[in-house]
Amino acid sequence: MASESISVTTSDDQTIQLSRKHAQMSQTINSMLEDSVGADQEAIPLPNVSSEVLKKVIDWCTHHENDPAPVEKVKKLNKKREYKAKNSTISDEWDKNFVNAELRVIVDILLAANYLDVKGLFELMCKHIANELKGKTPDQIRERFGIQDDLTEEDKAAMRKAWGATKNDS
Amino acid sequence: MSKFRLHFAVEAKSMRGQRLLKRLLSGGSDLSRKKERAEGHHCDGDGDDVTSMDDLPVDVQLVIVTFCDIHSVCNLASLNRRWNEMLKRPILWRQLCGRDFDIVILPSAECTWHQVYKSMIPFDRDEHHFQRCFYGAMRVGAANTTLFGRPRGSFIFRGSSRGDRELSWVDERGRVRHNRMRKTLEGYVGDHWEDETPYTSLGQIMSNHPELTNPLYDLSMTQWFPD
Repeated sequence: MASESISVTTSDDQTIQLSRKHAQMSQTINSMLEDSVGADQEAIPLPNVSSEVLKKVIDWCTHHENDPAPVEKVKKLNKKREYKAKNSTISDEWDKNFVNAELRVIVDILLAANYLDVKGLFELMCKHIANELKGKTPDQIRERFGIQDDLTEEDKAAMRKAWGATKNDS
Repeated sequence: MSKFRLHFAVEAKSMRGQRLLKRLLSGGSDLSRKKERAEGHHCDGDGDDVTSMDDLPVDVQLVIVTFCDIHSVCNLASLNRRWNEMLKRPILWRQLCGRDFDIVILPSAECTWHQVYKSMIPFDRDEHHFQRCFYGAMRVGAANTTLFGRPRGSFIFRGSSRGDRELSWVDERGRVRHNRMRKTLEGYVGDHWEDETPYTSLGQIMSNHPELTNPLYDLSMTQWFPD
């Protein structure tokens, strides 16, 4: 008999209870549960996720627990449609609020979503970052996302030639 | 999505990519360490120790890029060397070609996905509005192009002697369709004409319409109706 709540141990050695429904939104935990039927008393170790981030992920799962499950695309013909659906608009107001956070938090949630394989959350964070990149110059992007600049002026000129000067490029 | 990401993971050949993947797979002690460091510095832009987008694994970064518009992709490519190298991967341009132009088959074995994408952008990147006007038309051309896996009935010309803001293509019945955008006080206005002559070779079109330049496909393939 499977219990209704799952306990997981985070990277900072805290044990957190989450409901089975939320746990199963993560493909990683889901497959762990399937692999260890009968041993579900033990806490699942999540060495990649801190308790702070996990709480955020659970928040998101709670908001989205009643969403329809993502449809598995099996036919190759559907591939085209899948490409088309990939725009970066975030439609949900709650989601917009959720992603409005510090860069550190965003990166951590994205890493956690990637590790836990929560598809919806992963896409949401990717979309958010893509939206933030939109309309920024390379300098602004470097500043916002803490990226090191190791290019000389010649490199930059060559790249501008190769990739084309964009509207925002000075 | 997971299949998609796995694809990228296989592609992650750079040293950094491997290191990050290993880090991710092996229990992430690195991540918690990074977290401790980040507690100390809440402001960004402070040397190596702060959180940055470079902390993300390469496969995640590539997924982010597939959500970006093409202008952002070009900007990302000039961030630093690593990003520049990363954005040259054919797998990324294959995704982008499929996303923006519905091209899912490489039109010719000689070209790369990056070249295909570039060839689909006819004009300078500043004129967003103008490009959007043409994307619909180009999709039609592209659909014909990829239908048979090779350019058949869909030679696309970009530009003409009158300027760059023109796009023509030959439909499957050999008619030349031509579109032109003019900038007026009200904004861009489009012209359209068709030439109903059933052409059978690129040479005929080129001699009848000397103003058309820049065919996007190999000039040696002058015959596109084999029968």
